[in-house]
Amino acid sequence: MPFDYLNWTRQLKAVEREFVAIRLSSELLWEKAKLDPTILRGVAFPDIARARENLEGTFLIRMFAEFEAALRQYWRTYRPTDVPFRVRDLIEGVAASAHIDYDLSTEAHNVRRYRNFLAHHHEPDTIVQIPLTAARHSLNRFLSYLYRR
Amino acid sequence: MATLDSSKHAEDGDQEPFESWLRILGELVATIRAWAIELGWSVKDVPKAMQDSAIGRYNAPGLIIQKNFTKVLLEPITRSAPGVDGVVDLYLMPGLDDIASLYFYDGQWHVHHTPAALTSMHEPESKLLNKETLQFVLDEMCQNAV
Repeated sequence: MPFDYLNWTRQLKAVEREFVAIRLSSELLWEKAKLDPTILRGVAFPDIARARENLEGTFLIRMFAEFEAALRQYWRTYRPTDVPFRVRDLIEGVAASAHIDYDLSTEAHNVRRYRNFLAHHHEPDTIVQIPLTAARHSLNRFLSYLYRR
Repeated sequence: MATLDSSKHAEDGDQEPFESWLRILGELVATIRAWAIELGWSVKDVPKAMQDSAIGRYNAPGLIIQKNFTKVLLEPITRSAPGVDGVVDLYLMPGLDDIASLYFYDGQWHVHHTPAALTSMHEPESKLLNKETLQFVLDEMCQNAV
């Protein structure tokens, strides 16, 4: 099956749309629960507070999983070698294959590092927090280079 | 052109709203295609695979319009949302950044757009969709595209 970069960028956008919907839902729940805590049915306020705090990071991890899946499909479709195990090598390999400029690759790696921090708490001293919207923008720009194949 | 996956059979009550959605969506895409060409943009049809809870899978029409280095995606989102009978988004490519949303209600399409001069804290402006409002939105994209 040929690689369809547009559908993969749509997938990342769909993740962002789901985040916006869930964020709105959690805010409405928060406001309603403050007026009537009985609607929580066993869920505690600290749980909701943590859910709201971690929501964007949770969706960034999911968005990056979609991005990684796109790159793996691209590699399997067009590269003769085994797909790299490490995501860092996968990004580098695809960037080289598709002639993606250094600045754009750097943005993708920044999202990767932030995702690693969220998922594994790696590199906490050097991490740069990246909003979900900015992550989607950078990762989609990276994927758009793959239209040439 | 929209196509339907026959794996799911819609109830009679679902078929009419679905066909109405495909009709107004098809008319919207055709209209925007014509306006875009008149305004000097090139166009390309890009269907989108969609999933509907009542109908199942179907392909909906979408559009990429481009002028110089500015590329915009017209993307169908849903046939139904609270208060509206259709939602279509405009995204700036390649990042798919939000430009505007098109909502179908009161028998017409309306553009909900936040001008670049205003911050995201402002409520989007709502205007009737016509060739002039489309031109305004697209021209602003050309000025602000990275």
